[in-house]
Amino acid sequence: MGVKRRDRLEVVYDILRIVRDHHNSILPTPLLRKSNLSSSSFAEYHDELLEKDFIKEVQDEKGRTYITLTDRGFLFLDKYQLILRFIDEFEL
Amino acid sequence: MPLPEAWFVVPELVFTVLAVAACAAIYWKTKQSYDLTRHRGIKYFRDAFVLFGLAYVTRFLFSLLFLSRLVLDVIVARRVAFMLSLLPLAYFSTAAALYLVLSLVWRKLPERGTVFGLHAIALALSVAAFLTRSQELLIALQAVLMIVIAAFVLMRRPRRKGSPTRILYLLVIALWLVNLGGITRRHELPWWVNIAFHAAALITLLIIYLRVRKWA
Repeated sequence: MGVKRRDRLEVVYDILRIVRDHHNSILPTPLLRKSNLSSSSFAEYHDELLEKDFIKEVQDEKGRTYITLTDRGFLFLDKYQLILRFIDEFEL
Repeated sequence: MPLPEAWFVVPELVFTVLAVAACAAIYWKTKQSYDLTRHRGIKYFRDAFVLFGLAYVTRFLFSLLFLSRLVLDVIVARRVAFMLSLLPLAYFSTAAALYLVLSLVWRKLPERGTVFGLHAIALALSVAAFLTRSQELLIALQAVLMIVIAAFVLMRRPRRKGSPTRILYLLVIALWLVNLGGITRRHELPWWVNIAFHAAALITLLIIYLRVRKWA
């Protein structure tokens, strides 16, 4: 039996959820590993999420770049199930 | 120089305002879902109701022109105004119906050519109605399109069992056609039949809004 490919929304949700579940602060490398994406796919999603203001990058005192959620990222996580139900209900 | 008959215009105006309000409410209620996801299905769904709103506005203008025998003959030929209102009426309503269907089937279709093709069909239909100056032809063409859509939509296996979405979509399109026909056939039908069809269209839009409000 084949494995179901995640759709774009699901991938975005998974990435944001991983960040949130890591106390809203995670390095890119563990995020890449936990998101189960190829490096190139991850880079695309990362850029897209930054551009759409779902995540932001912050640097600690040692110069390491962490990924955190923005308010919009939290809003997406809050609304995700409802949006999925809406898409499902109207077969969109 | 008889003015549009008030008994007909008032319910038409009330109907138009309520229908446009329902379409606008559906559009605004889904704004956040679209802003967050940029989901193509949600986009087409919202676009369909913007176009239906515009179609209902042009339908009202069309009905005024159809009924009036007044100053327009002096200022600008009534026939020209009538034809000019038929063009956007046909375009908006055809595109609206097609966008509604596209929101169901977009995953199976390429992004670029599909939207272009949709607008080309809407334009071809409206130009045909415009050139023949016939709202009857428009209704006939949209009815044929409606039958094709119905066959296409009902034959597809639903993604979600028991969802009345497709029936609601077909009702929106069918009631649009009936209410468009009601403008020219109003003397042949009892007044309450027109009111009943208006009410049915509004109830269908209201049901869609309430279902949207539940989730979006």
